[in-house]
Amino acid sequence: MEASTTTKGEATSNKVLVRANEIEKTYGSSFPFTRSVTVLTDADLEIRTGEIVGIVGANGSGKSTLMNILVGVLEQDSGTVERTGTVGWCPQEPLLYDRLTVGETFRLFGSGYGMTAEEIDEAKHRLASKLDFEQYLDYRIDQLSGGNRQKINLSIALMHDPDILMLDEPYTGFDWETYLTFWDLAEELAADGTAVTMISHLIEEQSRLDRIYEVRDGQVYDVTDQEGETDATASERGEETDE
Amino acid sequence: MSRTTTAFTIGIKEQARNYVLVALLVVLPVSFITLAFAVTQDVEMPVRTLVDGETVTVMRGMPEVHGVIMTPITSALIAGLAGLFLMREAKDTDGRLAVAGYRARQVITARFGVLAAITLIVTGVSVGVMLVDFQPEHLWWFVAAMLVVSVTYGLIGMLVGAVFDRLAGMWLMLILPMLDIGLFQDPLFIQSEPEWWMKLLPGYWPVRVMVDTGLTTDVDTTLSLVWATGYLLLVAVLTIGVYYRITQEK
Repeated sequence: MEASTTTKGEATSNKVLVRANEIEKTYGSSFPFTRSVTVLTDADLEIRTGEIVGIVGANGSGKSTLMNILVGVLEQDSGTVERTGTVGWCPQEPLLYDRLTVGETFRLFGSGYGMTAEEIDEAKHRLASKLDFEQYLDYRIDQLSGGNRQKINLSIALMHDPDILMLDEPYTGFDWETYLTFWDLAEELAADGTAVTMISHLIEEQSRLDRIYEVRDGQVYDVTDQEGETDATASERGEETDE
Repeated sequence: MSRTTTAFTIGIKEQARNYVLVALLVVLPVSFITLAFAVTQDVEMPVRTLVDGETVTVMRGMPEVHGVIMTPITSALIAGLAGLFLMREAKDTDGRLAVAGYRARQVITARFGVLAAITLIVTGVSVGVMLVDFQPEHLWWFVAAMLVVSVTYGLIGMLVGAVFDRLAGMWLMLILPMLDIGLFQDPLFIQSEPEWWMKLLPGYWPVRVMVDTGLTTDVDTTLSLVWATGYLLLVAVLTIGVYYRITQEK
């Protein structure tokens, strides 16, 4: 995995684009007699240009919480996050406006990214062609299947060629062809210097990742060079592991 | 086109496709206001209001009084539900707009613009339906108070949407205008000085203006309209604060 960064590293300066230090997060409740849940304690992480980084961990370990904090949609209780460059975020559940068409969705988010109408149109057709949703451009989001919604969800994260791409299980609902296309796309972006970070559950994907962080017991461990599987992948198969 | 304009125009399109809202806009004014005039017994009733700066009791036809009350209930109810829907739908997704580069003030301006547009339409339709059966003595004062109470309830709907889920929020926004305007401010029910807590409700000041300017020939409630506007501004500041917290990038 270290070797796979060679070409990507040559394409860029291997600069740190996201740095998280001593992140802590506890979910509280404003209602009495309800418990608060500590998710992250002292979590550190770095994401560099041209890397494909996987964040793994057991269910409920805090992967999505960590990503939401890195993206900036969730506030940490303490610690710092530094981001350099533009961010594209593909949340686990498609966060889209149900009654807008696909085209309107591109226009709305493209405007936020500061793209011109021509750039938005070009990105829309390029991604529609690549991910095979050209025939649905005039459909409303709530008229799309789960898989096609996820394609739009991913495309919105990609449309402005971000420096940092944050993907929370981006392939949920994809058919096999689209899944493979997604990985081609991710590798192309990383080769161009984009820092691609994704939450991953699939063991076979780990060979595609340049760096693997495991979220465990509220902390983040770099398990890239560990032989075999992580605790998280084992526990997802129902095996007992030593902490 | 600026981000705010894009978000506003697309937001209007999105709400125009909200068939529940459109259906409410068509069905509620006719079923609430027209039926109120049609089924209310035509007898004279005592109404407490201001005349020449003094609180006095005047006799007015029950259909007129009932109509005057049902019109703001209808408008407040629809505006409140619109505010609720707007906040519920936007709560999560507007945070993604912030990641995409929208400033919180741009999103807030666009969303409040959509709510203002809906409220204008709702108020216009409600007053238009009322005018078929009843002409207020001072139409534009009446409309001003209608707008204030509708926008206030629209913003309260947004606040409710920030805290409660859709079902709980819907119940609240159905019940609140009914209790406030339809019971605690209704001169047919409240024949004496209202309790102090009734004066804290969003409908108190605007309904005073509507009863006065709808049913008497003089305008004695200028100050009440100022208080109503102040109440609206207070709710607006609170809503902007909540929305800002939701949409700003952390």
